[in-house]
Amino acid sequence: MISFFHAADLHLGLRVTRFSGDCADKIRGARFRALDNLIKLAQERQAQFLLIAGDLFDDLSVDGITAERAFHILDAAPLPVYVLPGNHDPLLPGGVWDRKPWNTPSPRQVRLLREAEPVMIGRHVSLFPCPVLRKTSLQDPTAWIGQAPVQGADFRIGIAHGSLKIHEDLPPDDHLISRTAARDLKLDYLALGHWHRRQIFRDADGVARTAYSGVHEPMRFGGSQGFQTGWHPYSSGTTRNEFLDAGVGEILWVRIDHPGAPPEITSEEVGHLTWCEEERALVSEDDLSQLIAEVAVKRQLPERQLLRLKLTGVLDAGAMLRLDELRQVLKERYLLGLLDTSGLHVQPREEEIRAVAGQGVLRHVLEHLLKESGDPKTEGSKVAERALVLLYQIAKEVSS
Amino acid sequence: MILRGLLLEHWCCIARLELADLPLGVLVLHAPNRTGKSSLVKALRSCLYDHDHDTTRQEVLQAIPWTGKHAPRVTVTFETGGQVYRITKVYSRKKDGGALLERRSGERWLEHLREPKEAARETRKLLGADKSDASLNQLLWLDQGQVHLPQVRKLDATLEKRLEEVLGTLVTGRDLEFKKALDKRCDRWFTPRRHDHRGGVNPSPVTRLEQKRAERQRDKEALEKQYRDLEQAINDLERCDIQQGEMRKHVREARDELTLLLKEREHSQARRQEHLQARRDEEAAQQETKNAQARWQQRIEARERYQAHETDLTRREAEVKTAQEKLERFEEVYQQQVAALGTARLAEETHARTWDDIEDRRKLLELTTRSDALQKTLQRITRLEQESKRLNEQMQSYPAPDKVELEKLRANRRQAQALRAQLQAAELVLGITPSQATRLRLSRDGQAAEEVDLSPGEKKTWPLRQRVSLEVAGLGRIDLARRQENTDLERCARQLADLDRVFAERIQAYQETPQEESCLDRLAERLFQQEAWLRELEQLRRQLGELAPQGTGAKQHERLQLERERRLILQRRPELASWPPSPGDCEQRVSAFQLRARELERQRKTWEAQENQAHKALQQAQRECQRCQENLTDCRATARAAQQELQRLGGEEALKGELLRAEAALKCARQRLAETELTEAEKSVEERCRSAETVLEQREDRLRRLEQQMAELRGRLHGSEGLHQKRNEAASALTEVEQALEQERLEAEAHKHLRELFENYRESQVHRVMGPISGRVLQWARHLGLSEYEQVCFSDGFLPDGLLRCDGTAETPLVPLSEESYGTEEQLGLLVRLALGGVLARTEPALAILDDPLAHADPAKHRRILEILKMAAEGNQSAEAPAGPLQILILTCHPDRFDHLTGARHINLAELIQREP
Repeated sequence: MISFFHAADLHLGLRVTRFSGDCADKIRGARFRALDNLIKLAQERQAQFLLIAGDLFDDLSVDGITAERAFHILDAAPLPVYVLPGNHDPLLPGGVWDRKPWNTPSPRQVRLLREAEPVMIGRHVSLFPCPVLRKTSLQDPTAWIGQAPVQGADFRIGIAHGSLKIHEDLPPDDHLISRTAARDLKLDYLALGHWHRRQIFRDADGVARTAYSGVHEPMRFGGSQGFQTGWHPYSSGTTRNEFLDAGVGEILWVRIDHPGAPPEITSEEVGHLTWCEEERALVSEDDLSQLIAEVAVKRQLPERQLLRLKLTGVLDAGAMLRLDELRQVLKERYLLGLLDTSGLHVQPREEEIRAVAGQGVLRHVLEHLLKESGDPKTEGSKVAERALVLLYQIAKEVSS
Repeated sequence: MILRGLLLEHWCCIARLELADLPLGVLVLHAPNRTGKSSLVKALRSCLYDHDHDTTRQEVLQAIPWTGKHAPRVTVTFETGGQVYRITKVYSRKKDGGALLERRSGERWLEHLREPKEAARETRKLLGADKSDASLNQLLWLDQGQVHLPQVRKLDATLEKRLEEVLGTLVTGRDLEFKKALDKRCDRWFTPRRHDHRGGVNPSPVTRLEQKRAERQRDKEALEKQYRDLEQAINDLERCDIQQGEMRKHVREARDELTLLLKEREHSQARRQEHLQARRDEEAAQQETKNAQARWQQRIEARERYQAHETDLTRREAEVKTAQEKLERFEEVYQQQVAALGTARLAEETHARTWDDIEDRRKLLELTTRSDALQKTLQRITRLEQESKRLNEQMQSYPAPDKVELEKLRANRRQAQALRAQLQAAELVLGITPSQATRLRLSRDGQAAEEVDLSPGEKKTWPLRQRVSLEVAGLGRIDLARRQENTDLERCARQLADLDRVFAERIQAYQETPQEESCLDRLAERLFQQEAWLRELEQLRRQLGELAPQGTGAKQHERLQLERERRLILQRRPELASWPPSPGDCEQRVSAFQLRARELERQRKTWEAQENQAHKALQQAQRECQRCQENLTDCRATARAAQQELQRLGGEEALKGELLRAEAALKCARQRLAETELTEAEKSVEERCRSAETVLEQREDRLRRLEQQMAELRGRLHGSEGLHQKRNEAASALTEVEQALEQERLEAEAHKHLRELFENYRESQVHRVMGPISGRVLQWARHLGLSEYEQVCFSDGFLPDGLLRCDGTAETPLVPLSEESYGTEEQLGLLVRLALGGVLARTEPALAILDDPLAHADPAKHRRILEILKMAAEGNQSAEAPAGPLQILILTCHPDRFDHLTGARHINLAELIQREP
């Protein structure tokens, strides 16, 4: 029986451009924390080796610090780690694999799979690596396995990085892998990387031997269809759902009892950060107060949360002025707190209007702004809405 | 409120004045200055508003007449709210002081309030103002010289409230506070030009963020370009990798081909050596044959040249001989010509020496002529000098004063005559006519006493200036003197004496008698004569100057010099002493000399030409002879050289044999070459080897260059470490700036939008409220002739900020009233007051008091403004902002200026006022 972990698409040195530099650094740092979690879990589960099926790094030109940190974590792991170059970090001259410490001749635990040739793990496992040599390719990276000399090993494990050809509209240069590769190549397990959503595929005999592990650390808000971080895949089909992670950090624990036996595949969570996206409808200042109290007190581990709050509804002017209070809480407590108030509108009460605007010019201005901001289709309604809040704010300051 | 009547008693200078039944409309109260017009207005202000009856205010105390017998009493009858009231105030703190408010009911007056303070308070309440310069009075009650409109901020609150009630709200205080706060916040973005503490321009936050975004964008694009370059380098490297394999294959092929060719070349090496040797032998034999033929040919040519030189040498020797004979002939001819030329020159020199004799004769003739002329001049000079001497003697014997002195003497006489007349006029005359013979001793004016004997009946008189002392025998001494000495007479007498003394001295110097009256005429005749003589003398001197400008001595010296020169010539040529100098003789001699000289010169030039020609022919012959000799020498040398060459080339038979041997050797070598000829493959193997080597070199070179390029690309790829991180950071920084910029823009646009909305609504509010007032003022202004304005502008108050000119630009949009002339400002201000007063009088007529208004209006404008006053007084209930009627009280000292105010009631206060005694 063999037991190993299958991970992929760690994207260390992740490209994050939509948030502040400090926040982006924390997100990138969290991916290393998740890698630590992974190693610890592998040790706990007494796995025999770890497979990383491509895209360990987000790009082949990542900085030396990231490359070294990753190397030292993996090389210090209590089990052998087999790393396959992916389409984000292909095996190209001058790339990250060509620099220290990844060009070290004899590392302790980590082994970079540079050649498409069988690698023996112990005496019973034959690993068939399919390294990616360029960002795009029309070739099936697993094709060579069919011509490889047959070894005397019992277990045949394939490791590759590309898109499994499960439907026809996939980009042809996206390292397409035959849907039946595991069966055709007589593999006990085909560990795949490239797609960020965990997926396990069954062969015609109903046995699941082909799997994408998902990502070890989420990299987007789960409820959205985009990335919102500035990251994008190096693939022509950038908007495909396969590249949207499930919002959790996970890997696969694979156990195979004997050669030819169906693998037992379990998903394990190792992620560090939580990406939350919520929408709240507010109808009164009480709702807002409740929300502020909730985000300020009730949430667990807010320093490990990226919280995106989308507010909708209509508030009176006084309540609108309290949004800054909410913003302050989000900023101070959370790793990242984003507040989307585009769906929130202001509707002052009559007594507010009288109190703020009186019967002079301000009254006319206020009525005009209310009309302008009331119609979202009007060009400049956003400006009008902000002007309306401003009017209240200034009038309040003046009257106080 | 309008005024219906007024009664003043003992108010200032007014003992009594009563105005009754005052109507609505315009009232002109006229009186001269200091009649009490302004006092009337003060009384009105005091009674209706400002003071209680027991006030101690100075204005009222000053109103008490100085006689002080009666307390001032003011009664004002006014109509308000459809009721007629009468307030009476007696200003006194004593019992007689008090105030009473009455209301008319039919023909009777009913007591309304008797308690004085209450009466005064009730009156103010009825009139709607606490003071006479509050509420509408602030606009309509104008003191003398009050021209400017009140400041907006100082507009009375009651008035403002009434205007708001009638016209509507303008801008509230809350609005103004809001606007101020908004403007302050807007400064963050919209201050026209910001400067930082170093004096540089400090842009708005939006601009700063835009600049920052541009920088970040540039940084990002630079990194993206690096990344694209990196990808390109990867592609290039892959391409190079493929090319490298192909190139290595090509190099291997080229190397194999070269190896084959080298083997082939080695196999044909012996045959090619043999062929090359035969070719070299054939070439050597061919060269030897050519050399032998050349030597034979040289021998033949040398012999022919030698023979030709011998013939030429003989011909040259004959030419030399002929040239020498010709040279000898020309030398002989030249010597003959030289001798003839010498003879001609000698004859010419001999003739030239005879010219000295002619020159001496001509000199003698000239000296004689000049000496005679000089003698005549000297005689004339002597005559002129004698005449001058005579005139000088005459002038010295008959002296005369010059014109200045003569005029001084005449002035002396005129002054003396005047003094004398003055003395005579002031002198006293002492006259004595004794009845019997009497001896007197008389002393006058301090002179020595004189004794005078008078016969009976003889009258004798003496002039006196100051005093006289008269001693009469038997009578005693009589002294007569002026009480105060007349010093002018003494001074005149002294001046006269001085003048007489000076005149006598000057006249006596010309031997004339000063006492004679005609002495001055005679001196004038003398002066005339002297001037005539002087003119004559000047003429003589001028003639002398012309004859002898340097004096007579110079002329005499010149004459002696001429004589000395004549003697010298005669000493050198004694034979000329007997020669009478004659111009004709001289000319004859000169003519003969010149004729002979020309003849001799012609002969000499003929000989000179011939000599010159002979000399040239001789030189030509010499050159010809020399050339022939040189040719001969050259010819001899050439012939000798040809002979030596012939000897050097050797004998003809030996050379012929040598040529035959060389031709036979050539034939043998050609035969051997034909026997060793190569095949085509053997011929081209060397070339093919070289070509293969070149191909190999080129391919190896290309491969090397490709490998270098690959090394370079690898280096670039190695240098890309960290680029991903940099791209991330650059993109992140750009996003951060863009978000901040978006937020800042939203803030800026929201502030701008808010401010623009506020401005627009404020303007429309002001326009809506003040539009009718503005229109009315503008209409009246145009009626007045001020047609250059198109709008009266109001901002936050009910009073205008200024007027907008028709040609106003964005830079100069508004003209404040204060920038207009004094008169125009007063007129425009009055229009605004009347317009506002009119709308407030919509429900009840209002009183306007104008004390001496329109003092600065020109006649035309004055006439028009009277029409406006009339219109304002009538009101206009159908206007957009209905205007009620006004009662306009005009106080003036120029009633004629208001004659054109038709319908106005004119009241002559001077006739009505009873003044305090």
